[in-house]
Amino acid sequence: MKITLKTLLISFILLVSCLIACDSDDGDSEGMVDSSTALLYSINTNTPDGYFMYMGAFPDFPSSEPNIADMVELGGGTFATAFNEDVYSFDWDALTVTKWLVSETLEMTQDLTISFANTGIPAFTPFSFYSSTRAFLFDFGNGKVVEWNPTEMTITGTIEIPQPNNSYSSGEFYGPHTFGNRILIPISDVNFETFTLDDATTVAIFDVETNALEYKSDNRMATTSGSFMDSQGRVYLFPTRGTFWVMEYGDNANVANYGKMLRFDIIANEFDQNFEVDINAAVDGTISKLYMLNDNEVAAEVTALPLPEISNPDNYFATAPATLKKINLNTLEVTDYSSVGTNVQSWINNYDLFDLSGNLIYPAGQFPDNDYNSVNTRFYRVNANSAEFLYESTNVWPVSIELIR
Amino acid sequence: MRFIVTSYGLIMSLLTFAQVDEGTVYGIISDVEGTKLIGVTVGIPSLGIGDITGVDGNYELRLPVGSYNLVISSTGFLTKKVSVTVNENQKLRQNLELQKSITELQEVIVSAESNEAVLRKSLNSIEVIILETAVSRSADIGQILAQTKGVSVQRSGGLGSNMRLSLNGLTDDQIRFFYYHVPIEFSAFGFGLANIPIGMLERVDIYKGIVPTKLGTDALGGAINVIPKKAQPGWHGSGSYQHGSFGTHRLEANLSYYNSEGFFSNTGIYYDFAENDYNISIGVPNDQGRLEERSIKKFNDAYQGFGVTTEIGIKGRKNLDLLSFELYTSANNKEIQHAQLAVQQINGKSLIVGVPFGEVDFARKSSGATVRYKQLAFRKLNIEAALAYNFNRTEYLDSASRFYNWFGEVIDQRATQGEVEPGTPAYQFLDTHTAFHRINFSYSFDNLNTINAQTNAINAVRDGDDRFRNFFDPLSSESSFNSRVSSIEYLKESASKKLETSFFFKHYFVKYEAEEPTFDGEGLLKTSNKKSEWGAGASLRCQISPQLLGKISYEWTTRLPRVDEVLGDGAFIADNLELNPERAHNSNAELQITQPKGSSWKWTINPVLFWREIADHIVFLQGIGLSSIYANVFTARSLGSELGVKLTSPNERWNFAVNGTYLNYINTSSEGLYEPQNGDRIPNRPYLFANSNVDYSHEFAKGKLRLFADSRYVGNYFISWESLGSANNKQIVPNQFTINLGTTYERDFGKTRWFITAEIFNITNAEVFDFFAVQRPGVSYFIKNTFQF
Repeated sequence: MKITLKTLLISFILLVSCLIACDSDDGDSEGMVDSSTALLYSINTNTPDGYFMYMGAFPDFPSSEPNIADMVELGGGTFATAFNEDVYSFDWDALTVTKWLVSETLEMTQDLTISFANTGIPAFTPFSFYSSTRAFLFDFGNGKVVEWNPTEMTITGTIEIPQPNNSYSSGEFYGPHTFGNRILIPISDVNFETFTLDDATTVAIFDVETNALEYKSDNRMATTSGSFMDSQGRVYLFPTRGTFWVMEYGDNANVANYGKMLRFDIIANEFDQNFEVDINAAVDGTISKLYMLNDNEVAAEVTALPLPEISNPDNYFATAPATLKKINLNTLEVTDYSSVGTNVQSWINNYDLFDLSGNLIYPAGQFPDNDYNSVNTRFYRVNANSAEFLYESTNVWPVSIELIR
Repeated sequence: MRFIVTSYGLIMSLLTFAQVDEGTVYGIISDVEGTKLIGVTVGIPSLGIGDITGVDGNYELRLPVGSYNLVISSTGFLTKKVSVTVNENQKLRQNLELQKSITELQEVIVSAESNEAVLRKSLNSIEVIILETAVSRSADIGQILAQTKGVSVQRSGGLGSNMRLSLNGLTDDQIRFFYYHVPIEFSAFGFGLANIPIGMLERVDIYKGIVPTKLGTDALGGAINVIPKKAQPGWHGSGSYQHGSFGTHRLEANLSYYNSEGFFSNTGIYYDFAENDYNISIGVPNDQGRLEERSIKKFNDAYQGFGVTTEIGIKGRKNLDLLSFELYTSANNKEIQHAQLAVQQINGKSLIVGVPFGEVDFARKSSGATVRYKQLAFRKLNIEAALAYNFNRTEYLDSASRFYNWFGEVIDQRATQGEVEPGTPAYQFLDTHTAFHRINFSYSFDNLNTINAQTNAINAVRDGDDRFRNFFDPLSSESSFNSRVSSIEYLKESASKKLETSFFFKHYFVKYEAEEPTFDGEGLLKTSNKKSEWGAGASLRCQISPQLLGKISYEWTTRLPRVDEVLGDGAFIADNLELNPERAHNSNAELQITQPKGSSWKWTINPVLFWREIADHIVFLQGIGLSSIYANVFTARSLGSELGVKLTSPNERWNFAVNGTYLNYINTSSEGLYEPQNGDRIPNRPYLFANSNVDYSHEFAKGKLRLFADSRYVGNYFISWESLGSANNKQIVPNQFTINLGTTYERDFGKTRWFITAEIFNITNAEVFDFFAVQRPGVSYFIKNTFQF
């Protein structure tokens, strides 16, 4: 073949065009994933001057450590949650909520911000996204509910509510459960200063149609610390490890029933008198966190009793070795997840993980074992049958993992 | 304690027998017009004894009985020789005048050195700030230090606000502060450098890297020694009143007396008040919660401080160089406007947002006494000792029962008290009793070979109370801290004085004890721990040529942890008995280049290289669902350079100074919590900053008029790890550039010198931030009246 100047020129142009095209393709596709599903993953990291939060959207739970360099940076006093396919970051220091839009390519873009600084709430209180136009912050201490529109991002009003009887009572921050027209908020009454607790379980029921709030108590069990809701609007209430600290070190002779589990039916608006389970006897320990696998089964982080000695005040919030167990709520049959082994404590606020079709992310840290030089968190995908190890994360503290869409 | 008392008794007895027959020559050096001269060398070359006049032209020499030729020399003046005869116990006053040299051809012109120059030519890597001209300025010490190369000052607001001072990248407890060679907490100014009245001070010495063994401390990154004015013969005094923007009033007065018998007294008093109600731009929510940018005045940020210190003693006596007793008390009160603020992007603009506090308040009180002793014994052995006690109380009040908005208006009532921790009000008291003692020995064999030895100890006991806590109160945990730092140093200087070197060893020891109440209220839990470390170092000074001086130094040093870092607070900060001291390799190399002989312009160029390799960095790890704790979590390296240039015109009317600092302070952790960020800059620390200053003075209306301007640039920096987070969302402290202007008119009325100064700070009203989202004051105006006699 005769190579002419023209041939060379055309070849060169074609080559350059090809290179440009290839380069362009790479650039467009890098880090961009079209995804119909999106998962919010946020973590805390530490610097010598404090913590920072990073959040990002992923198509599924990452199978390896995500690249934090691509995530959104926010202050350490921030947490994030997902609602209606958007992400909302709550800045605890500034008392602001910012809405973030998540694109098809899982990019997060800041949208509107509102501030609750002038509403007369002292800090973020238990919150609930009821609908695209109605969300609530429940300030039991000051007797008010602040209503806001999470789409328009405007505060729409303040509702006065009665305060709980006991001044130390507070709503469970991650506790509100919404079903039908009602929002249930478990009321915790554990005083870690005096080591006392209420001898009855109390919940607040807020009716979004009438804006009325009422309290309901059941003295079959002492105050609740944890809760979860099944698909039929039944909320299960149980004590957690904090209750046991208080019982062991406080003077609570009048509090007899603190190791049980009760159920509140939101539709009937009453405690289910036919449901009373001695959950701690069943697991032979105390539950720290509990995740719904399905309407009959839960996975629970269980700490053996008695709890470690806390004569040293420094161990006030110390943790004890915990294991992951599956509990059948009907038969009280308990099964170990042997693949997970013994861990220490979970600190993910994965209150919405039930939405992830039974996926459970379970961390285990070395932090309380006095190894302050590293924090490793192991993630598992848990279902009713097994706990599958995903990866181990180094030196980050997971904050929230939720389904965005 | 018995050992200490016995030791002091023994030393005093030895000294009583060690006296020699001596007398004192003292006086004031002035020019023929009566202007007192600073930096004049007065000495007896044959004895190697000399002094340099201070800001009031004073000198003082202790001489063995005999006849001598006193040589007085200073740049620009003819050297003068005066014969003196000293009798036993005599205090001979010799006020002398120097005549200006008219031409360069005068037969004898000896280049004398100022105090600053003498210190700068010492072995240490030191920055000396003479406050002679700063006395009349309204800038505080913090602002003046910020103009120094290698020094970064971050402040959270106006007068009385928190200040973070960094030397070559190291900061907080890694730097130690002293007042007249004693830890600054044993003074009326223990609450912070920025609040020290300048009128009471002579100079500030900034030691970078190696800290002199005579200060005997466990600093990791250097030390700052604040030197007060010394009492001069006769009655002297000064006073000033400053008034300016943001409701600022500052009053200070100083009176000193020194007689021919050697008795002296020195009393200083100050009162500061500032509303700090400067404007800041902040996002204020409307009725719907939407944020709108508003300029508001801060309303709960006021500061008030008061202090008095008085020292009496004897100095310059035959059998006593110095014995003084100082008493002081001080108190301050600072309102707290807000906690952590944040920045939100609203409509494409960065807005600061946060929640204001209306009633949170912090107060401190400090009282104590210090005894200083100095004596030359056996002619060659110098002994210095200090003994000090301090009582410090901090009070913290957070009990508001109301909500406030950014306009200072009450917007609602709180059901439970407390703004910082809603529902958990606090009225906390923390009392600390601290004692300090130090003794230094310095033995000079032949003026060329010297051995220095020192040992010092700090003993502290702490307890407290939170009056809102009726049950378990972690503050009631009593703890104690006992540390000792000892050192020995050998110094050798060549006969030509061109070469000087030093080798030293240091030993650090600390013991902690704590008693913490148990939750069940039935007993106390005792914990204790102790640590010890060795350190060593060396330094070299070389006068390469008359215009070129070189210095190099190295030290392997230690910073002992504080008691609360090791033992926690009994509740929410857990103890960490395994906590190790922070350790560092420090090294500095610098050149001092001055103008060649005969140059009409005086100039100096001072390039510096520094290296810090820090291990076992202590970090406060705030718990997430767990107790917080202090832990050794990372290693870091600070490598950087500084450059300073000073220039003075031939007629000395113009002075120019520029300096710049660049430091690469990076995380070098190869394991542990910060291992993933290996190679990142340590966040929230300025790493590029520069200053410039120009000063012009001229005779005017029978006095002198000074015009001055200075500027400061600080490059932007991330507040988190630079490798984390997408570029669009990184939180950053932006670039800062500020300009200050001022003028001073000074005039003598008899023996009284009067100054009036007007200054404008941040003349461009730039929005500047030292800490993320915490805006510093904008343009501000101050006027200050000062007199000295």
